[in-house]
Amino acid sequence: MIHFSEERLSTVWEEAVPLMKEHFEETGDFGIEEFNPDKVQYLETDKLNLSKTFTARTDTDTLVGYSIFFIFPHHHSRERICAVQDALFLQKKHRGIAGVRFISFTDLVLEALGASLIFRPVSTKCDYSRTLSRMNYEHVQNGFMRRI
Amino acid sequence: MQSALPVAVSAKTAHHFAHERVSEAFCKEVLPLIICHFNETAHFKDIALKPDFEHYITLDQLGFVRLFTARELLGELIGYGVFFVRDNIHYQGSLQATQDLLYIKPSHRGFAFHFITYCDEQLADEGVEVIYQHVPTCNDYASRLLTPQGYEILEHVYVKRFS
Repeated sequence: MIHFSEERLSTVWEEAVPLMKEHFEETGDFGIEEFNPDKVQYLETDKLNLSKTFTARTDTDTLVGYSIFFIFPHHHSRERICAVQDALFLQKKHRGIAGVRFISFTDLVLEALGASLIFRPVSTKCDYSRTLSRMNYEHVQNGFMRRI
Repeated sequence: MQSALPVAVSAKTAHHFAHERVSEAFCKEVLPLIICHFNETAHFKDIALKPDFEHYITLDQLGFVRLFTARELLGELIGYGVFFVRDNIHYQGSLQATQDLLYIKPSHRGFAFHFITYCDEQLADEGVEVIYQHVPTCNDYASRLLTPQGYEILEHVYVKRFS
């Protein structure tokens, strides 16, 4: 059984690094070879409550997934608080219904925290669009990148 | 404000592109175009458009914003591209640009390809390694304007709304 919680990024960072590497290997951006997250910036946003971190753990408390959101007033409609997913990862062997429950859990907490819009970018390398569509998410944009 | 870099498309549609600063005067000038942009592409039209101009001005002063404009030769604003430029939090040491807004008045869209090229060149000149563009599903110009310029699809963006 997988259980979910909100935790401080500062307390889970070291534990999460191996999972971050797995995550990067699976969906890292096209053409970018080096995984090099900015720990200082992440921890600063955590400290300022500008981000929220959620974890997925087994019954033995092993970390098997995480999700990070940045929280801020929308630039275009400043009265709306947005939660923008920076990362969502669950180890492959735990995906399926646990993944859906993880998304539902984070949605509930973010709504309770006052978010009125939740944005989730879904990598084309691990496309769970159909799952989100079934969870009342709407497809609003596509993201493109160009490496100079 | 930096000097304008002319880009002649034709004698009839001559216009120029420039890198400008976000100022109070510009915010006042751009508002009618932002309203057109909102009416054309906003997904939730019942959410009031209230751009946080002060925040944009502050970010510009801190060096995080790049504003590119398209103007007719007499100076009328007909389009804009706004990018946030900073080290990517996932790949520190890599300067990256993320498009926040890109809009050209419908009556002047023939040069959008050149405007995107101009924005990309300006960003490349200052050392940006990766440019991200977000394209609304209701006006999918990617196959015409982005993929021919070397852009690849990276992600689909989903949104859930409460209240």
